Amino acid sequence: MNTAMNAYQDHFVEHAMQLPGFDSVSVRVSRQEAMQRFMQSGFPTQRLENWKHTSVTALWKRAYKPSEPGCMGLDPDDITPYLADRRGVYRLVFVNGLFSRPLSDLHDLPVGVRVASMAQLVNDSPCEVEPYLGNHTPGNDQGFSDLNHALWGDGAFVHLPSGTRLEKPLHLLYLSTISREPMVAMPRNVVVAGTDAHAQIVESYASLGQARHFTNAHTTLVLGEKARVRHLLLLQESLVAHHVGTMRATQMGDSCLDSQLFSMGGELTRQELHVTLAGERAECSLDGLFIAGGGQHMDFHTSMHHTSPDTWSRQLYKGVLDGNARGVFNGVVRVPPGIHHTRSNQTSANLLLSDTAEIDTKPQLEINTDAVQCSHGATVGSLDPEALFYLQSRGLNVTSARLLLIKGFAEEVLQRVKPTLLQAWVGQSLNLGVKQS
Amino acid sequence: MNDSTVVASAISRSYKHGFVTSILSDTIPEGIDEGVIRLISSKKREPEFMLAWRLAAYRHWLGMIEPHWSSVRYPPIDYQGISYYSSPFADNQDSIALEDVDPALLATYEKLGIPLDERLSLAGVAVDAVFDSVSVATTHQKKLAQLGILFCSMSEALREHGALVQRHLGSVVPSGDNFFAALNAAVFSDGTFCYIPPGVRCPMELSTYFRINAARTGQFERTLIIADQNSYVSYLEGCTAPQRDRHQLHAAVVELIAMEGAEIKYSTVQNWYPGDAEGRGGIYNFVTKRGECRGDRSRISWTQVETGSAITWKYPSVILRGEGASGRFHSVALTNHHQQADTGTKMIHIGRHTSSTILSKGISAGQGHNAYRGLVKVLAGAQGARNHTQCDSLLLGAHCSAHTYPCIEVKNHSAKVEHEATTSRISEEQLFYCQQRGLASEAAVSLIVNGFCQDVLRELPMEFSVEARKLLEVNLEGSVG
Repeated sequence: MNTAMNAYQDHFVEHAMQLPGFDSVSVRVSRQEAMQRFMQSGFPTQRLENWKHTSVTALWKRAYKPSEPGCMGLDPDDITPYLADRRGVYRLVFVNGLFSRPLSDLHDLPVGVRVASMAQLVNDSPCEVEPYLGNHTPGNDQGFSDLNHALWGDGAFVHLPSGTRLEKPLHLLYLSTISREPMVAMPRNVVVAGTDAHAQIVESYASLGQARHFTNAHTTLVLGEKARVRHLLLLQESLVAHHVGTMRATQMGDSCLDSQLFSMGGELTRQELHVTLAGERAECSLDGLFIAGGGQHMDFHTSMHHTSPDTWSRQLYKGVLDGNARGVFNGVVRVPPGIHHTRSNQTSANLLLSDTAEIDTKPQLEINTDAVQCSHGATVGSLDPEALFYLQSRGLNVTSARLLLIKGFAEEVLQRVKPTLLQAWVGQSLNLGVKQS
Repeated sequence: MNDSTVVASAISRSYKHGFVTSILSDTIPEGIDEGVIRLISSKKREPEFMLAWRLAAYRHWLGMIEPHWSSVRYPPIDYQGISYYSSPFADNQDSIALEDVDPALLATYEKLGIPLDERLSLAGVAVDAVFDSVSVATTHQKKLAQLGILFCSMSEALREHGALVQRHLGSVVPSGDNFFAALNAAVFSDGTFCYIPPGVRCPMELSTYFRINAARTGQFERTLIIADQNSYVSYLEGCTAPQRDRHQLHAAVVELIAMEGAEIKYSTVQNWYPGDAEGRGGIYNFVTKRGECRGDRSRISWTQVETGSAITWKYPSVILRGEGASGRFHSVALTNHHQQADTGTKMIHIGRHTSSTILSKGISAGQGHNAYRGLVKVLAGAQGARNHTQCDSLLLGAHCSAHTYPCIEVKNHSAKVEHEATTSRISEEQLFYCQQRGLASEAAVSLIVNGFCQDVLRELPMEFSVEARKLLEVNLEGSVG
């Protein structure tokens, strides 16, 4: 592990001047602090409760090299399969973690809306982004966040001033290409929605072919009062890729965040979602669907902090596991003392399709006050033999009957994706996932 | 009992078992080392293998670190500041006829409502009374012996049935299982041993009543229950301690073994001194309880009502090894004032078609802290395993807390595992309904709390069920309104 950590540190020391934001003192200091913390805590081990079920040994054993510019030779047709729509969507494309202008399309953005490459912005006008680049990574299990904060190379910066509406979804696409040596990309994204701003953000991670790469992403969402953001996260990287991602959202009063996550790709995937409901009447729903087969390992951690009264949250995470796949869901809802009228619900439902698949689920509640209504539920089971028999008696063969039942199971999460354009697109990529597993 | 008297008695009563019996006792000096362990072993005139087992556990314990992963918080325990053995008998006298026992001691048990005189005691219950480190008396032994049932103190069992004890002791909770279990294995002083022969249905409830009396001592007892093929036993455990300002440690181990077709029902009404309203004093109840369904179709059920102790930290578990074995866990944990509880269960499904049910009810009042922590693990070979878990928390007051940490690990696709949990306070509608029917608010709360726990309380044997209801009311005193 030390060799891998030292390699990152050496890179940090050697390339400090090339990293975006070198001229800004606060960015430089924050990178240094993050690097120090990373060198102290290191990669998380299974001794940490939050990493009990996930070993990242395979990740640090594969010597990833930070990506360098110059390896992009893609034209717009190459990325078509990864897009929901060529025209009906704004898009910002990153290849191997670095912004690609020719592949991006930001025509007719509403006036005042800022969508840019983080690396360019932090070099050109650092004061715009500095307030959002602080380090908020408490705990010794956040080694990957620290690594990202120290070494991030680019990312998306989205700023929606008060009252603005994005009529079309904004697609942030992160593509990784095949390279001689396995590469790591560390995008750092910031989305700020001002008072009463509305937006739909799609964040998707994909690989070209069977690329062996590692993505360590960090996304910060800030929702001002009455802001409404829909966030769709798609993880469909290659089956030999490693993905670690963290999303941190802070919501002010009356804001509303709808997050959907679909995970199909990756050999090892770990995604964390931390939401703080910091204003009264803030609402948040987190939905997820993960489909894993073969030897895939997928781990999802959510935490919901109700730090203001009258807040509402809901979580629905569903897993479909086949082959030797292993799934992990760990969700926690926290209500501190004195925070009244919290309503919260959390559900984890899992389908095991093979004898060797495994699921570890742990929905948790930490309630420190009395005026609350919180509940959670978890189920693990396999396909209902009676339902299978019924479908077969109606003339379906076993394979289609199974597929139909699995689709039915997944449908509940899919239904929550809006608008229909995106729903149909996600549905298509899911079909593929089901067939593979 | 009608509800107005319930409230009246709830308000007027406090911890009624908090008195101290002044009695001459043989207490060894505080501290722990190999000498102390040899002394305990020699005082009990144990067979040779026990001393070796204890010393091995002690050496293992020395290398262990006290665990701190739970949600309970307490100042460091000084393990050298505890006396590990205290007996109300004179030196080297480990058992005596009931007539010769100090009358003050007998009076203590009568005051606690557990007369040791067989003529006065409840007809259907046999009691093993443990006072500090030793067993004082065991009732109805002769009657049980006619059926071949062995029911005696652990010391007696070690002397009389050494081979049987040696075969099973530590087979469910190994001596190095965890920090407190290792400490217990090294210094345990007494406890209850029970063996039910094949095909025998134990005609009466067996029970142990634990009493801590001496100050600055810890109580470390060990219970071993073996139900041989197709037998049945229902076992009760009760406990109380005097009111003292210092915390006292109680680190017990309970092992249950159910052979083919056997059933063990283990019920606990835990009422150790919980400390005062400011959180001074009280017992640290750090207990390891585990049962193993070793044979096919065997059954083990844990029922617990936890109302006492400053800190309760235990997870009565079942290892479901035999085919078709079933495990159950029913729990009510109440924390008031500054009490803390981190409790739950582990159900380990190893055999095919094993099933388990978990029903946990937590009530937090005042500044009480209540956590449910559970593990349901289905191993790859547990074809058709089935689990249902329900854990509900009731919050009374803005300063209390309820945490739920259920862990589900499934490696077999034919398993069906369900978990549900809720956390809420008593709704205003419920209260209003009761009040408009003429109940005072205290009576209404008491009624609702009782209803909340109903499903667990009905699992208890009748005598204990009445006791448990009273305890819930007493312990909620001062937290309502």
